[in-house]
Order: sequence, then C-alpha cells, then structure tokens
Amino acid sequence: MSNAEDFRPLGSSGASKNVPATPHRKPGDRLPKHYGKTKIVLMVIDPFWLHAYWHITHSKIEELKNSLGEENFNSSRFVIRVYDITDIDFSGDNAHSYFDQNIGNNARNWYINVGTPDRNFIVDLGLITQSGEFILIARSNVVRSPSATISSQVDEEWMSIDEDFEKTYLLSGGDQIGKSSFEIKEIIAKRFQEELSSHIFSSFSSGKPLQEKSEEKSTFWLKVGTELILYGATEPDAKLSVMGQKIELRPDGTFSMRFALNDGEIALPVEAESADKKHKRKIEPVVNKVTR
Amino acid sequence: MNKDFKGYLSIVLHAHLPFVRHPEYPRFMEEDWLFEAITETYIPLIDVFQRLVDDGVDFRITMSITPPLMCMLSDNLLQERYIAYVDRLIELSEKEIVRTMFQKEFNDLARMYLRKYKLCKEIFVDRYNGNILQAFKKFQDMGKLEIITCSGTHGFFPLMLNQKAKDAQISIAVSTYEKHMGRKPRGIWLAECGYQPGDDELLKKHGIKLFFVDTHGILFGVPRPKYGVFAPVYTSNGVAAFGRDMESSKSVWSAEEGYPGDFNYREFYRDIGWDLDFDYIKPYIHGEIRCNTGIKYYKITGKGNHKEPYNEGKALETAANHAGNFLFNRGKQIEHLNSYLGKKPIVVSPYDAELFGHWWYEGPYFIEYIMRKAFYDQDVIKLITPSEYLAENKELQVVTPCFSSWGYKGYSEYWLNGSNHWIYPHLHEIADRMIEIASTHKNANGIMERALNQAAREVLLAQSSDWAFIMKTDTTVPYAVKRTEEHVENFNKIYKMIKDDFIDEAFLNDLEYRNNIFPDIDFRIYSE
Repeated sequence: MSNAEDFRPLGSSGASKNVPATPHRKPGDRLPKHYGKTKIVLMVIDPFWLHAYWHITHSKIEELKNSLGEENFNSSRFVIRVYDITDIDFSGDNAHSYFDQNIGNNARNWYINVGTPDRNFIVDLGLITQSGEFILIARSNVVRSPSATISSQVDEEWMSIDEDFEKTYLLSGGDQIGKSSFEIKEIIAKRFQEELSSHIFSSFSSGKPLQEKSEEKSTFWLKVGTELILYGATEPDAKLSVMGQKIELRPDGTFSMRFALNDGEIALPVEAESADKKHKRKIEPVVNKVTR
Repeated sequence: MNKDFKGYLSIVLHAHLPFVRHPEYPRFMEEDWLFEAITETYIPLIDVFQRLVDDGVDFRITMSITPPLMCMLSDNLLQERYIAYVDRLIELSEKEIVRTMFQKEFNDLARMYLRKYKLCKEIFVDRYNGNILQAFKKFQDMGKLEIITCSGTHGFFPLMLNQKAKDAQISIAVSTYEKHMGRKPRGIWLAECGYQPGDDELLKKHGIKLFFVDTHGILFGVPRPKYGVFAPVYTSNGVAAFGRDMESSKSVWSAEEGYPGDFNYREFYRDIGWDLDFDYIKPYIHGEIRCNTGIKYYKITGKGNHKEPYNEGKALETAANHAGNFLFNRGKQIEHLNSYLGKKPIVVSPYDAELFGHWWYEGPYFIEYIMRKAFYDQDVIKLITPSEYLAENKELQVVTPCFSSWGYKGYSEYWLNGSNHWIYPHLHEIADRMIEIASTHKNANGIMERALNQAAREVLLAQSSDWAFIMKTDTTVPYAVKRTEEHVENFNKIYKMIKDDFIDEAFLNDLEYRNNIFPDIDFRIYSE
C-alpha cells in the first residue's frame, strides 16, 4: 500500500461536495441506518468467533408489542440464540445444542464466541419473555466455523502413516502456526484466546474503531541543513557557465541554482559570453561554510 | 534443464491496487499509489524480464494482475497523468544533480534516479505506448510469464455471502482479463487468498483451473493432504489449489529475519519529500502536504536513527547474495522433500508484487538474480508456473481446502473487526439489490441499461477489500471510508431511480465519467 498519510484532494479550494463537511462524524453515518427489513446476518471471523448484525423494523416491534402486550414486551429481553446444527436439517428445535447471548436493547451487532471449529451454526434473533418463552424475530444464514487443525479424515488411496504426515505437516510450515506437535489444536486455540480481550471490547462498540493512544515522545530534536542559492542575469542570448558547466538561461536571461553545502570553502565562478563572442564577464563568489 | 531435477519452484507475484481515479481533480494524492507502483515495481519488473529474455535466460514467473489494476493501466487519463508524474521526477532529479554537486555520495544517487526515471519514461512511452499491460502480455505470450486474474475488484469472498455476488466478481475478472490478454485466464488469485469451500464451483463454471490458498488452507483440508503444501490438490470440482510454502515466504516477508531488512538496502522512510526545504520541494509534493517523492538517499544502516548514504553497488551485491541464499535454501529444501516424500515437490512462494521495488527497492534485482542463478548455476530446481505443473503432473489428491485467508491469523478477522464491521450491512444489501434489479430488468436498453451497468460498477467498487483493510491498518482511513460511503450511496441512488423508472441523466453521466472501471461491463452478470 501507499505511504500517503492524509486524504486531501488537490487543486480544490475550500469545500467541495466530495469532501465530508463534518470532520468528526462516525464512518458510515451518511448511509442509511437500515434497509427496512427485519433480518439477522451471520459471518465467520475465525474457528472460534462469529459476527452477527441485525435490524428489527419499527413495525416488527409494534407487532411484537401488540401480540405480547406492552407490559410483557417491556419486561422481555432481546437475545441471540446460537444453535449448533452440524449435519442437521434444522427445523427450529432439533439443534445439537444452543446458547443465548443477551444483547441489550440498543446493540446492532455482536461478536459471538462459539468456541468450536468445524461446526455449523445458525442464529435466531429473538425475545425472551419474563415467563421464559422465546419469541423468534429473525433467523440467520448458516455458517460453518473453519477448521483449526488437521483433519482426522484420511484418504485410503493417499494414506501416509501418522509420523510421516506429522513431518510433512512440519515441513509445510505447521510449526509456524503453533508448535511442533500433533496437538496443534490446543495451541491454536490458545493463540486465538489470547486475543479475547479485543473481541470483548468490540462487542460493545457499534462501529467505532478502538484507537490506541501512542505515548508522547520526549526526545526533542533539531535538524539543520545549509543551502546556497546562486542567481543572476545576463543577456538572454548569452552563453553562461557556472564552474565551467554550461547553464540554460531562462527566456528573460535570468538563472538560479541551488546547492547543498558541506563544511569548507567553495568557489563558484560564473562566466558569461555574449552571443557574438565579443564580450566576456566573470564573477567568482567564494563561500566558506563553518558549522560550530 | 537437466531431467534429474528434484522439484519445482513457483514464484507468484500478486500485483494489485484499488481503483483510484479522480478526473474531477487535477492531481490526487491516492493516484500516486499507482504511479509509485509503476515506477518502482511494474516497470522495473518489465525491465528485468526484458533483460532476461535478451540474455537468453529461460525463466518462469507467475503474476496476478488484478482487474482494477488492468483497468487503471489501460486508462488514458491515468496514462497521461503518469507521464506528467514521471516528468516531474525527471525535473526534480535534474535539480538534485545540481543541488548535490558538492556532495558526491548524493550526487551519484541523484544521477541514478535520473537514469531510472528516464528509463521509466522510455519504457512507458516509447516501448509500450502508455499501456504496460502490453509488456506483460508479451512475456506471457513468450511463455516466460503466466498472468492470472483475481476476484473482480479484489472482493474478499469469505465475507461476501451471496454466491451470485462472487460469481459476478469472477465473471468480470475473466472478461477483463480476456480483453487485455487475448485469452481466458487459467488461474486466479482469490483476494487475500480468501477461500470458502464451495467457491471452487464458481471457478470451475468460469473455466478457471487453479487458485491459491494459504498454508493452513491445504494443511487443514479434508481429507488430510498427503504431501502437505508440496503438491497441489484438486477440489471436488476438479479445480487445483496450490498452498503457500511458509519457509520461503518467511525469508522474504519476515520483518526480523527477512532479506529486505538488510542494512545495505535502501531506507524507505527517508525521502527528500520530508527532508528538504519546503519551498524547494513544494512543486513535487501535494500542495501543502509533504509526502514521499521517491527520491531517497539513505540505506537502512542500522536500527537507530543514524542513516548513511545509500550505495547502489553494495546494495545490488547484497541482493545477489540474498538471491543465492534463497536458491540455495530452496535447493536444500527441495532435495530433502524429494527424498522424504518420494516425489518431486513444488514449493510455491507467493508475495505481494509491490513489495518488490516499492518497499524493498532492490526486490526486482533479487528476482532477476534468482532467475539467472536458477538458469545457470544449478540443476536441482525447475522453475515452473502452476498451469505448467498441472500439465506435467496430472494425478492429484482430492481434498477440500479449509476456509482460510493469508491475512492476520489466517481467517477473516482483518476484514471484520471493530474498525470496519459497519460496512457489511451495506455491502450485502447493495449486492442483493443489484441481483434483484438485474434479474427484473434483463431486457433493459438505452439509458436504463447504462444505469444498471453503472449500478454494477458501484457495487463492485464498494466491494474492494482494500477499504476494509485500510480502515484496519489505520492509514488513509478517511479516504477508505469515503470511498465505501460514496459507492454505496451512488448505488442506492441509482437503485431508486431504476425502481422509480426515472433516470437522472446528469447524475449518471457524472458517475460514468468518474467511476469508469470496467468500461464494457454488462450488468447481466448479476441476473438470476
């Protein structure tokens, strides 16, 4: 990627319709808050974590209030119910297992720790009433948590003994993922769990990136460079040289050069010769740069 | 090549930049991403390939050139702007030659830059008439380079839930490739190596024979891959998946152990755009904002802030040594694998192309030395492209690779976290809406068809994984946010116009003028 640090269009003076007017708004603020549909969508982050976002329309809320009664609705809580439906044609009540995640009234998305690779999940967004009844609001797509380790399935035609496969695995870079062991699953699991805290934080955020404040550096510094500008003018059609090298004049006969200086003395002889070669002038500035 | 070679090495360079083109401004900072990459990576690689061909070195490299990059490299406006860009650099390096007259160590470097920028201009303008895709095509047609494609706008498939949306990404990738390369692509680099089981079916549908996954994509595949990443596998759809070799990757990628950190190499972070007097450098930076110019005079030198002048000769010698070391290690690796696996292994080493030249200034020379040494100095390794490998090795194990990416921690987290999760409700919605209107308006023509085509461009542009990536890396975030918002907003406006059956032609004209990626797109790639 580029090293560009800032976004600023060039050649534009002042505000433009393409430049956000309010600098401190949240990303995505100018986009619709929702698209008028009650739904929940599930995505995969890694073998242990999923992410869901959802929307419940106003009319759906009204409908729930009507069917439950205002009081019953107000004492209910919103949850997402996460089902493990691996190898199951899910009917709503035949999952291997499920757990409920409270999501409060205002969250629009959630990071879900499912904790198990290689399983199929589906999520229901719903309400749990005070009496414990689960009211379905929306059902998500199905996702499968990715594998985090070597498959236990072995192809007979392409079989190798375990030790051989372990070696192949290591040579393939398996040890770069965890350590040199067949119990790679544990190690990888640990690697992911070390990152738990960041997920927990983001569960409470709704789109605002976490910013780390870098500590103020106290190393004061100073840089100094020295440059010399040599400039002048002669007849526009004259020939000019500086230190013996021919220099192109600007159309009006002026010239300007700039040199970085090291310490020490330098001479900068400037010679001009008229176009008809009848006249010559020479001026030789001498500059001595000393750094104390 | 000696018939007794012990195994294969396949070097894959993934060349990609997001579509950035702003005709509405005379100059635009993010357009420099492309111009820097052309100057420091793409043209130096072309120069390397040409030298190898001229010297009769038979080499093999695989490169993905993504559809947005193809569109930018073939765009007239960006071509003109590139010429202006390189002209400014030529002018600046000429001034630098004067300015550094009393500082020989820098003066030599100023002359090096002038020489290189003039060569860039010559290659860009005189040899390839502004379109360097022609250069890459030429080396492909010679059989030295295999160019593969990439998901349409570098969309990250694991988070793109609608299969039809992925299908459209592949469809536009194939047609863009065909337009510029004169044949269909055999391989694809899935953006960020993002793969989800089942996506291979889409590849098969579009005639794509091979793709790449990260190491664990193969290692965690089902059933167990007998040869690890050292042989590709067929998915159940008969598409070949090649896995990344970790060892060779690390030698280049790793911040601590990798070659690019050698103290003799050029220091990326000391650029005269930051170092020199503001008034002097102002015409060569962006308005009032200091930025890199590309002229850098120092070598990495050491870990501290003290930097010494760059020495080109010494740096190239180091690159040659590193190339020798790389090949030596691959030779050892391949010999060992061969005796152990009882077959010729393939080591697949994929890298971001822009690493070579842009970040690692000497990278293109490293590639050149590898190709030369592989040709002249050894007979253990055979360089190969993945499709050549498949032609030579027909029997592969059938394995379903695991859901994976080559991003941080290997799955989706980099593209789905607190910094960027807000984009997905929009991205999913506009893709679904696009499929809806494309299916209900299949027979559209005239302005309605144009509106549908532009709607498709806006969806594709919003889907670039680059925006989520930039939001996470925390560099140029406002630009990535703005691009996501704009394309979603543009799409939604067009969607409404189409539903209302009233197209605002001025609005459409403006979008067609600015967001002109995929000039020949047919929105029906979204029709169901």
